[in-house]
Amino acid sequence: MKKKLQKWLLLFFLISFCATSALTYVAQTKLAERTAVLTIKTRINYLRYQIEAHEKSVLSLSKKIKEILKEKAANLALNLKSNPELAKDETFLNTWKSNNDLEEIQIFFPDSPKPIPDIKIPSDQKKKSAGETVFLTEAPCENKDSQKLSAYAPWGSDNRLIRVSFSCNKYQDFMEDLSIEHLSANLKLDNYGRGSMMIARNGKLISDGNLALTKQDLHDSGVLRKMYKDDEFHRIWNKKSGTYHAQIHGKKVFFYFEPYKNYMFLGIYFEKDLYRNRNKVLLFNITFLLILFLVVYVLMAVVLDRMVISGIKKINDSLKKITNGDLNEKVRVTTNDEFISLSDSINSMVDGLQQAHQESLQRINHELQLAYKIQTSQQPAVFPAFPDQNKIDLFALSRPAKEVSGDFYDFFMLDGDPSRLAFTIADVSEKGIPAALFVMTTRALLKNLTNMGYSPAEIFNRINRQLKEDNKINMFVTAFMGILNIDTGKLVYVNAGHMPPYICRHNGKFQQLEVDPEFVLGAIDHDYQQHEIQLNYNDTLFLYTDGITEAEDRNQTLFSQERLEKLINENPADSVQDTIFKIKSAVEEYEKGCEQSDDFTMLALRYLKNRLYLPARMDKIDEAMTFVESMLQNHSSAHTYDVLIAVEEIFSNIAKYAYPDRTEGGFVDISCAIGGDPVFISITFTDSGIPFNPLDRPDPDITLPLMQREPGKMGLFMVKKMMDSVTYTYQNAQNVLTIRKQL
Amino acid sequence: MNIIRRVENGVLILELSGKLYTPTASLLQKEIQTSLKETKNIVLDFRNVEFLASSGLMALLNAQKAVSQAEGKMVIKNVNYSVMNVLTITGFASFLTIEKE
Repeated sequence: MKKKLQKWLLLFFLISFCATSALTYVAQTKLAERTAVLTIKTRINYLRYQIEAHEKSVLSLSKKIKEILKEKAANLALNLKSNPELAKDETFLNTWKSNNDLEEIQIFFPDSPKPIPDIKIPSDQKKKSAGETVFLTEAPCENKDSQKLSAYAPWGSDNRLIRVSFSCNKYQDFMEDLSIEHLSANLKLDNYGRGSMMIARNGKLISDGNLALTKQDLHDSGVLRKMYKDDEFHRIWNKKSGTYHAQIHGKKVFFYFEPYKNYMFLGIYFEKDLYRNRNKVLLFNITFLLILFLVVYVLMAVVLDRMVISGIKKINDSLKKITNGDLNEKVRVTTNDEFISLSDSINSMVDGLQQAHQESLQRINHELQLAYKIQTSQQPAVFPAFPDQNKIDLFALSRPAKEVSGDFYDFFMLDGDPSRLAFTIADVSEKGIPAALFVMTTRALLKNLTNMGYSPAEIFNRINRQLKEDNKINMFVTAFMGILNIDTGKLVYVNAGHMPPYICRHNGKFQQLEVDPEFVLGAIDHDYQQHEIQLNYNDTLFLYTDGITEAEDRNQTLFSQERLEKLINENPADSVQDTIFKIKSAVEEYEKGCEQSDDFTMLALRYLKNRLYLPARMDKIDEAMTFVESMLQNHSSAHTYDVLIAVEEIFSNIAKYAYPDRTEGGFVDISCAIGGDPVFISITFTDSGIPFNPLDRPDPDITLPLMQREPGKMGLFMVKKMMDSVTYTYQNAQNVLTIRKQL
Repeated sequence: MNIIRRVENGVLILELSGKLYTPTASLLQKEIQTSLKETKNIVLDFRNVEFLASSGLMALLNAQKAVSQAEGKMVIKNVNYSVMNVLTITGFASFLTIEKE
């Protein structure tokens, strides 16, 4: 806009400049020409005066000539009167003629062959005698070549006459020569030699103004055609005066012509002379104007920028911010009243907009809150999740990004089967309300299908089909689900494109659970495969969504899997709740100062069930004892010691004797149950070693002195003695020994 | 299990601490056999024994046999209640020399 305005301004100034220059040019040209014409006219007036004066002298001269002619006639008449013989003497007459510069001498007498011209001699002159002349001329001596100026004189009686004549032309030429010399002395028009006067008379150029021009030159340049009425060969001047531009010998000239009587005055200027002043003035004017206009242009551009453009730009910047959603932006341009009022209008408009925006935001927020409530109410969020049993420790947490989340977790005991726990974590590809609706559908399907008793793979197959069918907006879900038998520790799980969970086994480190990354739910037909693992006492599963690993810090660096692994492995024995809170605060700390990029969800599950599956080796004896000890942790009892001794005795017995043939040894399954009122503990040892019923063995005689005793019989005796009951069965090729003790 | 040896008034005292059970029983047996090369009389201080299993009993039995063969004397002192219970149940209490506080 600024550039455009400047362009227009520049254009405006250019046009003004050109117009002013053109006007100056025209005015100066006219002025130069008028000045020239005025100079020429002045000169013409002077010339006229001169010509008139000259003509007067010519008149008096012609009078004198006539007197001279009369005198000459009288003299001749007197000579002839005294000597009539001479009238016929041709020699005398010729000599007389040449001596007196006469054109012609004619003698008339009565017997002369030449008729006496019929001259009407005025009557008062008829009486004149010889020596007295009568001047007779036919006309004023003008324009007639044949005419002569003649004088008659009588030289006797009988009408004897003589006539002597001057030629008219000769006389006139003489006069003309005089006048040219006279006039051409003043043919320059000014003191600098600029401009000349040419004079023509009777169609003949009598002065060329010292320019060495001929009549032909004038004809070629076309000026003659202007001056004459018809053509240059007639001698009738055009009655009007005028100006004319022409070219003579390649030079531009300016003429002014004015007729006077039989004269034509022709003022002539070479244009380079004529316009010298004009050009000087023009050059000065244009330079001056150019500087002036430039200064004014720059000033105006600056002032315009200060007054208008910067204001408009400020408003524009503010409007841009407002358009980009910053409704707190205020427009403050105080350059002038118009801008102040414009700023106020925009501000009040934005205020109105903001109010409307706030209202709608509040409404949307309210609805989102509602949606969030619905979502969270469906998500189990009371912990401990299963306070009436201590087989699992489970904690989960979800942090939504936009009120409602595209993530979800869920866990529940199967309807009618309190030994099976289903748990899942999922992430919908989108966020917000649409994702939440998708989540609800998925969750509902998952819960229903699970409760109907389907296997995890079958559940995912069915959910996939269902979602795919209704999926018009191409959303999809990544999900992991598992069903854990909390009595046996058997976990069946299936993964649909979700990050593999971490698992920590045997108090080791968290490692990714080996699972095929199968296809996401809701996109294409897929046959999901389920997997099965055995969870042992204290095994921990950690499930999460990519909101954790893809959390970004200020430099848009991801939180990353490495960071997560490091964090959960700092202390793998932390309670699941501690672990999750630790990760949550680490991620939030990491994101500090940036907008939350994603929602995240975590679920951790520790299998605490009173069941331990161990290699039957002596070095595992501490694990077996620690396990039972932990079972008794919450039941302080004086009998803890007894129970532990029983465990030691039975486990070492199995380790020593149950698997004599196998070099790598077998396994022992120890499971605990605590409950009842009064509380008792029951521990079952299962092994698939050689059948051995400890109850079959006779008790050692404890009254025997030590020296007589056999080693190795004491352990089982102690167990029987210390426990309330010891039972043994052999089933499915397994020794099952159960001890029980009231605590 | 830890065993600290110390001699007090010409009597070798073995201070036991921790669990006396299958993994540690042989330690005690070895310790006593080595000790019998130097002295006949041994005192076992059970102040810090928290756990006694049958394998521990067997170690004690073997120790007693060895001491008796060497015509020495083995005394057990500072036995806690739980360990005492085991010794009683198994009849060991009557045959071992247990010094009461």
